[in-house]
Amino acid sequence: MTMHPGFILILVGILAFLVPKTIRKYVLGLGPLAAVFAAMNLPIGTEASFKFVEGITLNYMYVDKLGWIFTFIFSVLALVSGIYSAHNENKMEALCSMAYAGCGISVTLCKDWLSFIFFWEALAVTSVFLVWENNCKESREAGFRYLLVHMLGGNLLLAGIFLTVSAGNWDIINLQNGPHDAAYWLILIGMCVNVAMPPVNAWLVDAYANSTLTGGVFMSCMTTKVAVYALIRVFAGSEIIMWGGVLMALYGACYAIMENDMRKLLSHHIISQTGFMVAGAGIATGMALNGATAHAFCDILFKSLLFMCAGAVIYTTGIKHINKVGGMAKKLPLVAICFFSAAFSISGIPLFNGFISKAITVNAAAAAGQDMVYTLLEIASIGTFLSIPLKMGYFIFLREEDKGAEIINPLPINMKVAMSISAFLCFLYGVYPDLLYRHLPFEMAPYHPFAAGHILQYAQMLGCALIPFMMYLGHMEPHTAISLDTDWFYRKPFAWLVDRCSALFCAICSGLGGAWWVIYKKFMELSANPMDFLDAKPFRKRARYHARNYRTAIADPMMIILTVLTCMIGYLLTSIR
Amino acid sequence: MDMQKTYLACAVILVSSAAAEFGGVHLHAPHWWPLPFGYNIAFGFVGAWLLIIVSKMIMARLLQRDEDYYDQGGEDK
Repeated sequence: MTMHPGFILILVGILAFLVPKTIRKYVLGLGPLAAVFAAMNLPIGTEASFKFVEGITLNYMYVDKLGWIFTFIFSVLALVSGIYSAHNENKMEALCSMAYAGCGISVTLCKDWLSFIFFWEALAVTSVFLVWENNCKESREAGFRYLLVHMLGGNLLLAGIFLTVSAGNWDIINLQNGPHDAAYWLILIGMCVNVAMPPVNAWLVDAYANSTLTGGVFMSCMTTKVAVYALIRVFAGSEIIMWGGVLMALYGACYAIMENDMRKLLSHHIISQTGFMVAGAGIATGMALNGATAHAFCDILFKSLLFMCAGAVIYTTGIKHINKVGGMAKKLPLVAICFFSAAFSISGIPLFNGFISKAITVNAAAAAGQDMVYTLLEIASIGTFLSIPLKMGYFIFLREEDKGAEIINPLPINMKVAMSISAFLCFLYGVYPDLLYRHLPFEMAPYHPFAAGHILQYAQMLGCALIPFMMYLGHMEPHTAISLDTDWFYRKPFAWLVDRCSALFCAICSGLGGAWWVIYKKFMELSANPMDFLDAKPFRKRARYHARNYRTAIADPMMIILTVLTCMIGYLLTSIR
Repeated sequence: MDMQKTYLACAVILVSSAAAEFGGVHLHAPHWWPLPFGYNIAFGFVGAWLLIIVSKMIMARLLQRDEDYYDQGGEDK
């Protein structure tokens, strides 16, 4: 019997919400295991649908190789993240995190546009609570900004889907080969918002760094990877997204070098690594698409592990800034080992999983004749090496200087277990890449990551990148500051504009209200005494109305009205007859 | 970080990899230009140097502000 892994996770979330906290940790830790088993037993070609209304059938499950590989890794992510967050007593967060993962899987499995947009929007709705549940001013504000940006992206996508469906195209297909009409552009922009392509990238760093420590692990891998899946499915071959991906890779790498907040730095690297995948989708040869898929798979493992390690440091010390901690390798040795496993993975160091995935896309760019893309992606790889294993690794874990960060909360056992599982998986896929390669969805020539030339290339390139880091070590330590990003436009000038427009509209409303009040008062005053109209004389002093004073004057028009009325009724009665 | 040991480690990696390259390990590249001896060494050094200069010397000066920048003079409270 085949079961939908996404629906299992949504049920796990509901169950975790309902049960007492003593049972919740087991539900969170073990519930996603059912989703992993369901994903492993999901045969390629499985289809499921239901009749929504007359003439509309929703195909909520269609399993092909591309959808399956994303479904499987999202289920694994839900499992390790569920274990990581098992100690968490917040039932709302438990519900939203599992529902979020479930909606992500549901996007990758659905076949038609209507199911797609439903789960896509649900993804934004469930994830915003992972930001708000952090319960501080920054997270509340960041959550609203996140929601606004995703409402914009979601509505553009909805409009595009509406146009596509109106034209009779119900199923999700590659739009790159069709007409580049309004629907094409609306859907493309909607997806680019979720993939965090500049200039619509700042929501990611803003929201992820302000989310809960456990919720951030889910968020770090879900929204952007679902969008990568969608771009591979719908826009493979678009030159715009190829260059957009290159821009993302470099943009994220440069910002990460400046950053001081641990989770903001990692969020910049989500943008950077996602850029490799987006570029792969744009190049669109079999090798590049496999590279994008493989790198998404590996990125989910090492990026979630990096967020877990950063979360562990923040949880134990209460400090989120790199320049305020040091020497953590001695205080948190397991976290340090797990961190360096993930850091070596993301940098593409041999025997860790990034090595077997990142280079596929980069080499595919060269093979497709995109020399500039190849060169720029290699530079972005160096940026990753500079800011994660070198900058974070050195300043947080290795430097001798203590900075006085104390362990104030011991690390729960479930967090240690989750980090160990993820680190093991990073290593396992790094030494045995065929575990991943055999599931890659597109045709390509056999790829051998452990060719001596490939190892030599990375050893030389990354080994030499260490020298400038050492040379500028004093400059590399971040200082307490924020880096302005594209969100500046809607947090400063746009906020100012909205503020001023609101003030203007308030002034207009207030003025109109005042004027209307004067007119209304005048009208009431005059209508209180109709004789003012009938008996009006210039400069006559108006007396307060009293019937006794006006009885005769009112009687005359009343008599005229009654006479006319009587005549009209008489005339009507005679005419009817 | 022990600078001397780190530089030594870099030197060992680079010398051994250069020796391997001389010894006949074939670098894979689709064009001629990544193939000359020392290309990856130079690329790694220049790439890292460039990124540090662009990020720390140029972007940081243009884009970095105090942490309370967005709370000054009034974003939503």
